[in-house]
Amino acid sequence: MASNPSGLGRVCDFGTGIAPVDTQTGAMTGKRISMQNCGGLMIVLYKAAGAHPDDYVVALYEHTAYTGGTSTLLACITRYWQKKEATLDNDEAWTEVTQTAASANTADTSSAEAQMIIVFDVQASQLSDGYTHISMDYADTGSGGTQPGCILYVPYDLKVQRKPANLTSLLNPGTANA
Amino acid sequence: MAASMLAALGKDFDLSVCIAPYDSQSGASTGKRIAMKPCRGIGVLIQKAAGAGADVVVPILYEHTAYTGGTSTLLATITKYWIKDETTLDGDEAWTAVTQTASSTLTTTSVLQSYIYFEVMAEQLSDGYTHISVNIADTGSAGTQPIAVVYIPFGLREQRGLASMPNWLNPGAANA
Repeated sequence: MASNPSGLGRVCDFGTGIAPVDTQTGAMTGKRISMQNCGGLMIVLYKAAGAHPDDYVVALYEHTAYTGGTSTLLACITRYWQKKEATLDNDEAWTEVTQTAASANTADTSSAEAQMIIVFDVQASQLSDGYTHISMDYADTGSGGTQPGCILYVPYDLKVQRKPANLTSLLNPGTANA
Repeated sequence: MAASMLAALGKDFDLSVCIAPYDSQSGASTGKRIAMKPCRGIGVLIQKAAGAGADVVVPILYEHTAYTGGTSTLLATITKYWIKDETTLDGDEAWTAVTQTASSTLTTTSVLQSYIYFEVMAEQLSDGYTHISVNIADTGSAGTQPIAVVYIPFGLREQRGLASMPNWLNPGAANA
């Protein structure tokens, strides 16, 4: 195999939703990310175990600009996938969760006690006319101890595959990275 | 444009746990093992909050001969990694390549919010070794510094529906 890294910039990129934080400290607003340069985007929520009933709740938004503009709930989540175990150790399977199209996940009253990886998927074609960006917010999970968590964006079907240093600004494509 | 939901997961790559989110100031953490048999390479993505002073993250790469027990050895193959770091990551930051002498320890000086990414190819494992893992050293004691590490296997030997993806700890065994 000739090059390294061979996945980043070819298969996918990574962008910030919410940097790792104790989700018991308050509600968190996800960063915006453009869908201009990808066919789809996975939203990966990665969380530690907490205490019942401090379950996670997310909200998916679409936006007309990288800052300001108009923001609207994007009710396109009809299914998502999760790995869930008291202690994740790589032997767990993906489980599909289906729901009526919504901008939030289905309430899961046993999610607080588990370590989880949850994957939502948004296609660029699902954005409303005039909308260019999405973001995912993560509600305050409660007050029972600590529950570190984070949200990662994984754009895929990249319209232009580049070496990582030349990948586009995920916030505002066409402008220089900062 | 991908035609179906979750068009990339299970086709281009998979996701699996290394270290679930935790406060790296609370002590060292041992990463879970992952097999390299079902893939050509594994990306290791470290996501971290901002730290203070000299409380930098220190990832340490191991290889193993089995999914549990067996022989574990430091795997000194990290020659290059990529980092995005900023006081507050917001999507406008670029990847920066960092090179280092081949080592099992990734050396960085950043205490900012960061994504740190490096790859291990299956061919880099020593003879008889089948798994890798990444540990995170105790980062220090100044406040908190939540961190999470995820494995991203790519070059999947078999592309499947997600519910049928292999057991990444012990391929061939049923998922649990």
